[in-house]
Amino acid sequence: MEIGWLVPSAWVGLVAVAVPIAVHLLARRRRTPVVVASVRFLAASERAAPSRHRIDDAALLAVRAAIVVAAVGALAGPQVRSAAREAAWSRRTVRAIVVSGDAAALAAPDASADRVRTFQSRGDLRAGLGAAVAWLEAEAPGAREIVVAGALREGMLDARDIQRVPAHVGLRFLPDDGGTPGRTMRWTTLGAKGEREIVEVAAAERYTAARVVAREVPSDPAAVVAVSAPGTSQAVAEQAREAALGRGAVVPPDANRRVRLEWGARPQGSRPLPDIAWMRRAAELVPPAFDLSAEEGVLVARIAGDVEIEAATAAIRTVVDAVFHQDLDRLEPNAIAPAVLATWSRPPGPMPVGGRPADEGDRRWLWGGALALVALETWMRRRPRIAS
Amino acid sequence: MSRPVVSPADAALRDLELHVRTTVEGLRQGLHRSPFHGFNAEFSQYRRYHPGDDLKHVDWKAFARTDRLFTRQFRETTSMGVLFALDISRSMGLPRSGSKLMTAAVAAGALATLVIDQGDAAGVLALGEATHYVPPRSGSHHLQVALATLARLEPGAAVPPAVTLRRVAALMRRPGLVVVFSDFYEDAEALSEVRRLTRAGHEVIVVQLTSRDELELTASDATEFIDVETEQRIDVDAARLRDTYRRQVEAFLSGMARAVAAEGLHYLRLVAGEPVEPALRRFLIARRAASERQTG
Repeated sequence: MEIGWLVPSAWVGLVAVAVPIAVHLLARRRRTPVVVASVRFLAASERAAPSRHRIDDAALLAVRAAIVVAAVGALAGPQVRSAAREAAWSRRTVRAIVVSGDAAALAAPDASADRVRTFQSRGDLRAGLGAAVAWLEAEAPGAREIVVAGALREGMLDARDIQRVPAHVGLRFLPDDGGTPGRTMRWTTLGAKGEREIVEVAAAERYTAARVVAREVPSDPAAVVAVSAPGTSQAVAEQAREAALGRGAVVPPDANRRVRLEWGARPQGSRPLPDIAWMRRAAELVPPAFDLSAEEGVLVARIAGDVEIEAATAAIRTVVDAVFHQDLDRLEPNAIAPAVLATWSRPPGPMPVGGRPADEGDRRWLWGGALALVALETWMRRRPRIAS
Repeated sequence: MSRPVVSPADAALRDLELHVRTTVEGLRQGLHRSPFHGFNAEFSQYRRYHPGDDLKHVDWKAFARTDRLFTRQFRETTSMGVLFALDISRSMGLPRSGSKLMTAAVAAGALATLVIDQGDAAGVLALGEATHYVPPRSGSHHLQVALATLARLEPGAAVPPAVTLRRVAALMRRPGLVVVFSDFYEDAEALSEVRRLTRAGHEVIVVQLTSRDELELTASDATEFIDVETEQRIDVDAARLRDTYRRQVEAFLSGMARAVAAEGLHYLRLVAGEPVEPALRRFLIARRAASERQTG
């Protein structure tokens, strides 16, 4: 068995032992005046007068010094290490739960851990993960694990964040599929259509069920924005996607609006706009540069000629704004794919040797000792003086 | 109707009378005979009985032993004056509760009662800012005057006991009994005056007063002692000095007792705050026994 100290620097406080000694030696002692009939027998023994620099009550002084030592020792944080205690350390689990979003139900997903603390990420999952790592480093020895629970969306975490978590800390992900209703924007490449690559931005309703259901885009009646861009211009597609996401394009659950943006002349067979309220309103709002038509319930906005990326982006924004902005209030990105989460997951590693030990409660013995010494000191001060 | 007003002096007198009465009753029960008998009729010698001699002076025990009649002759047949001289210096006012002066007043009052009850004369002398003097006289009224004087005594005088004893010598022209009450911290001068009184034919009883506080250092470790007479201040570690102090006080008291005994005088020590009657009874019994030994 050995004793370690959590805050060894606190032993510097031992210099405080000098305080009671100095006070005892230097302070002028309060003397009780007593009127007597004669001091003739006292005057004859004046050599016995108390010295201001003499230790009068060594026991009392020792107790006072011991109080200081005990308090300093407690501040230094003693930690008794024994084989039994280290075995117990290896058996216990210290778990930090990082909750993303409103996943209140996941606040305590596993109560079996010896020490658990929940971190609400408040929209910043990276910060929550960092706080969890910091807390684990200061915790008592034991297997360490971080559980990330709640809505795990793309962009909240990436591989670099996972690499910052120490290797011996296990990682588990509990994606929240049963959170509050929302809508997910899904970007899907539909394929090539002639020389053009057709991509579609779909806003799909997310049910309140336990799982997010991302509807298949081709048959999804709620898919709303289709971008038809030159096939050689993937960058245009990406910009269009970013633009759609950035505009918060989300349809209401009961909406069935689809928009496709195309570049080039109107093909044969396109129909004029039907008498549908949202299409008519879009026609009023969309700039005249766009040639609007309808194809099987889909609003098609065309711009003829070559289009730069910036122009394409602006066009998509304009259309999305015109068509959806009045109705949409939120956009949620895709959930992090389960396969990615599986890649990031790992079990807790072995307890690292060394590291920062944590308070095992051994301070209490010294604090208790200090309190007992204070009581003893009080008794010694008040005890009746006994003739030596 | 006005309420009767009791002055502090009256209250002190009643308090003293109560103490004195209690003490005297205890003494009478314990002594059976007057402890001062013989003061005013001191035995001198036997002589053969002559017709006409007072039969009360015939020693019937001697007649039973020798079958002869002897008449006892007495050297002095006049009443004897007893003067109680009290030291009322500031030190006699200690301890604050049940002071040495109070103890001395009770003892003096009790002895004065015994003296006057047997027909002798008793007086009081105490020197302070004013002179408290009641000349030795007999009679119950005079006893009340003496007790009232004792009750009025207040400590605080700067007059050492030696001065009081010199005044006693001046006031008592006829040989008498002087009972001196003091703590005798100024013992050398006082003893000198006691010797002078003895040489002048007076019998002197030295009553030394002390208290528990003076016998033992009961103060805590760090104490500033203030001499009530001189106001000298001394810082003392009482715990370290306690044994030495006790030995010195004991040496002082026993030295005083030895010095008094060396003069052939009687010595009585009274501890303030403790009952006076047991100590007085022991003292008077011993004194009477000594007196009887002297008279054979």
